[in-house]
Amino acid sequence: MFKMLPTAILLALAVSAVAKDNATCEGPCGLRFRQNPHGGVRVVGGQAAQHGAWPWMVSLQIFMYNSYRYHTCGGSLLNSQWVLTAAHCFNGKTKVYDWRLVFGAKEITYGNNKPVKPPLQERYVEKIIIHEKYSRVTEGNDIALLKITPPVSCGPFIGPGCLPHFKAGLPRGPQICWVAGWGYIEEKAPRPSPVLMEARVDLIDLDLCNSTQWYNGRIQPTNVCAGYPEGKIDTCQGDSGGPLMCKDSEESAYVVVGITSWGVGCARAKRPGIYTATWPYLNWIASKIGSNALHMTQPPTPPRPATQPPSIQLSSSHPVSVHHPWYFQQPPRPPAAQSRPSSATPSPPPLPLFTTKPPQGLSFAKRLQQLIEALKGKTYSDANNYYYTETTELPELTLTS
Amino acid sequence: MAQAMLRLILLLLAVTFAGTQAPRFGQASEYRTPNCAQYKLPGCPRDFDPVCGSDMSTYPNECTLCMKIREDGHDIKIIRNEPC
Repeated sequence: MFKMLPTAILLALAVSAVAKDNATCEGPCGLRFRQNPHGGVRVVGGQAAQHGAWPWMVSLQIFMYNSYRYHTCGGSLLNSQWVLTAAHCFNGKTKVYDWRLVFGAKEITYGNNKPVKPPLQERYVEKIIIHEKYSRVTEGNDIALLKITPPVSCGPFIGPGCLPHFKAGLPRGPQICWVAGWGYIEEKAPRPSPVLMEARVDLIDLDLCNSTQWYNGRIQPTNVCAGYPEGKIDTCQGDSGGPLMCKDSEESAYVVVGITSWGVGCARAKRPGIYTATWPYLNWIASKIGSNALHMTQPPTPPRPATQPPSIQLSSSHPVSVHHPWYFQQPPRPPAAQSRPSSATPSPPPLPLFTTKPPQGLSFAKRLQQLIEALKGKTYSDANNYYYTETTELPELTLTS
Repeated sequence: MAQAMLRLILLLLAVTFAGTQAPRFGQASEYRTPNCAQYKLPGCPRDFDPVCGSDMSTYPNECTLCMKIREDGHDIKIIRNEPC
């Protein structure tokens, strides 16, 4: 009975910590709740997304005098108060009371005049911030931020998306990328899709994308091209402002690397989708939402290969993670995983935080920390790695911003 | 028999009226000439802000209607700012 007491307190504390994170959207970014099985390769040429597959996906809706709301663009939730989207969605519509935001949706009704039902949430826009140098003619700097009012509550189907690190650079190379939105499912569709669609896309080299047979020099250095040379799979009208999401390894979180902007037709050969890269605008975003808020959206990076323990050891201590990516919510780890040898922690100079702590023997506080991490689903790196990466990122942030 | 016919006609009328939607932006006034000069790109933004063209086609936004004019050479006006 005496032994039970700390466990009960631990559980109560952990649950309240998770609840707090949920409400304020301060939990880890990029956490997915459900997803289609691997291999789904098919917006145009896409497939219906599972509810909760992209919890940061937002529907921007025009609000008419008769209280009907009409989906116009997509957006990405950054935290309880901010949505990232495209500037051109507000051409001629810069009044905040003309807009409504719908969160946590899989299906939306085009021309809805009824309140949304849970788990969906609907919010007003308090402020529309369009990039100061947005150009309607070239679609340069096609990026905008919306302040949400009242703040949205995160939960099973609503959560913040991730933005790239300052050190990430422009997205390139082989990455696993997805686009999502309620836009047209073909170029000549009559209406936007009622169901959130998703599709796998490839990043396309900017030089190729700008070549004469393709976009012939119209693409700006702050753009990303994504799709396929043969077309067939692409975003389309109604998808603007929505995310282009990539991850560079199976273990890492999806990062919103682009914002759906424009294209010639949809899904045409040699005319892939053009996205505004988010990376060149990190400082701009920080200047609007605050450096701390931006930092919360930059995911902890998994340990670098050189500092990783041998793969055999890794797979034996993480038997589940081999088959299930980190973003599945997992139960708290068994005690065996907690008593991993300390050699599994990264080898570079440890931070004072850890050198002052006893290397083995888990304290009550640490066990509590681990349980909270596990409950939050942050199982892709252990608590040590998380704090190691987070604290090392900080100087980088202050250096570049 | 005549009563059955009347019922059928009433039903058909009800279905027809249920299918028509109230206009989104109030009453349509005069046809509007699209402002195509502002779209210099070869492509169009991917927002959904539909317009009904005088060819009775719904275009997802003004730019896509301008592209159609550019590709086909036909003059298309905007009947209203909503799907046809």
